[in-house]
Amino acid sequence: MTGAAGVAPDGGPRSAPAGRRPVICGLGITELGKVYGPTAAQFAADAVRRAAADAGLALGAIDGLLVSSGISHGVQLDLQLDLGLHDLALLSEMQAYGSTAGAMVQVASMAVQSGLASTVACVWADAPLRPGTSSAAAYGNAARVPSGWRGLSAAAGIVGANPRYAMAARRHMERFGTTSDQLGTIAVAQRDWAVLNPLAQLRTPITIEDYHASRWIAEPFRLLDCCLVSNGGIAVIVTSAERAAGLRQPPVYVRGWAQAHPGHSGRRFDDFGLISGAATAGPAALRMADAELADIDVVELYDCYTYTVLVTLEDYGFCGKGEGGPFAASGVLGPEGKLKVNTGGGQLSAYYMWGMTPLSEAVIQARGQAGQRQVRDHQLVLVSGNGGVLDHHSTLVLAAAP
Amino acid sequence: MAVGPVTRDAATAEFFDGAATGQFLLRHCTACDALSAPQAAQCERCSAVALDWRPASGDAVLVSWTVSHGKPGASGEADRTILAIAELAEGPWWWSQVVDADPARLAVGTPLRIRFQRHDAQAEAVPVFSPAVRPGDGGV
Repeated sequence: MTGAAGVAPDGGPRSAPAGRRPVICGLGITELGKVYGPTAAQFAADAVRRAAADAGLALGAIDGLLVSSGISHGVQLDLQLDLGLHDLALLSEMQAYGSTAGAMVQVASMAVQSGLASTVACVWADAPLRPGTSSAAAYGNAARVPSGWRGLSAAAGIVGANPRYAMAARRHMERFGTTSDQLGTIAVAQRDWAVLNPLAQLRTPITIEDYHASRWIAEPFRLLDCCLVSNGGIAVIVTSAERAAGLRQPPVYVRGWAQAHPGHSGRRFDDFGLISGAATAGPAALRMADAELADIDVVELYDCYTYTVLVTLEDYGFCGKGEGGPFAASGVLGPEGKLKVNTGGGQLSAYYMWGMTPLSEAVIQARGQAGQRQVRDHQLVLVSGNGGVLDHHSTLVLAAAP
Repeated sequence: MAVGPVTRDAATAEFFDGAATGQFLLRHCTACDALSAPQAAQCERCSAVALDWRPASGDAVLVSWTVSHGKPGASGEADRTILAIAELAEGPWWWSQVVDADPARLAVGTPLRIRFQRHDAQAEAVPVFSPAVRPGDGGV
């Protein structure tokens, strides 16, 4: 569809000549989960090689490389050397936590559209799991005495994302009456999708009773509110529509994008837990894509926790502010639901590749390659990324057609 | 759960000096008189960088909280810690542990007081919250 004036918004991909419009032409997914041995950098190189092969490109056709990792910075600029890529036109490490994957695609798209580079690989990889170590300990650093302001939080017992997101969720519950049952329906719905996804790590169906029986992590979060921890890497390759035309895979057009970084981390923020950056980035990305929310066929949301799905659905406008709980519990989610959300099982049930989890499933769905879990209408896919404690947000609008 | 150890750095040295004397220090703007969070690099109201320190009253109210559960130990019982965001009477928010409280009796707006605890006698003092005891109610 077209906007009110019938003209694509300036600066967006639809204002570019058709051949210059950015397209995701390759997707590479390594072995995921409790995969021990490879370093993050080795997973990253594997993912890029797989993405190039998927696209039908020689590695040497890549002239741009954007790299990212978890919090360990395990993937750095020397990935260029590991991949034998010479004379790159674009090379950078990016970090906006869980919003990075979407942000990398945005930078790659702008690079392709402007002519800075023609074929940009965006890769994220991490290897936090070690044999015999729990997921909870994967990101831990217990040996060192913490220092400074962050050290003060750690000394008080506030370590990692779980308690911080739990307090965001609690705030939502206290303000809007959101319930644990409602959060639980999100976990159950996503597991139902994961059952259909051969890439998913957890494929046994769960019930709301299983959810309530799972152990507390940080109240109101139980284990089944929380994402997995996975080793592995995922890469996508962004090129121009013109170059993508002769390649192996159906092109996935990057039609709209936006970011939001509220900038209140660890400081007073009266909307903490109530509103995320999706509230501004979502509408902005849709405007760029010249689309409306009602046009969206598939929704792939960053789901570090069940709560994150709920607040993002509200912020994107799928329901009113504060109505995410009743909305999620209304039966709208899951394979039989009306709204196709986190169709691969997401980070709760499939794999925890940060922003690459929703992005990879979005590409698979937009191509029509999702097998048993394929959504029938998959023209427009909305993808969110979320980093920090709702501190960083990216939105992408992907499309099966220009 | 007892507070853990923490070491000071250049940015936190004065804050820890205050904590050692039982004071929770906020940044005070010499230009506009506003109080900012202790970790503020510039005035949160007027962006001035000339800041000194002022002690907070120590009064706060609960904004949000979680009961954090450790991995169940041999007894099957997990360590439980109440962690919270509180709004200080002066406006800034602070994240810390709540001690001596029954989580079932916490609610948004519950009055809190800042106290200080140390991991051991040599360690830096760490601000924590406890329910404020109001005359006649015996506390939470």
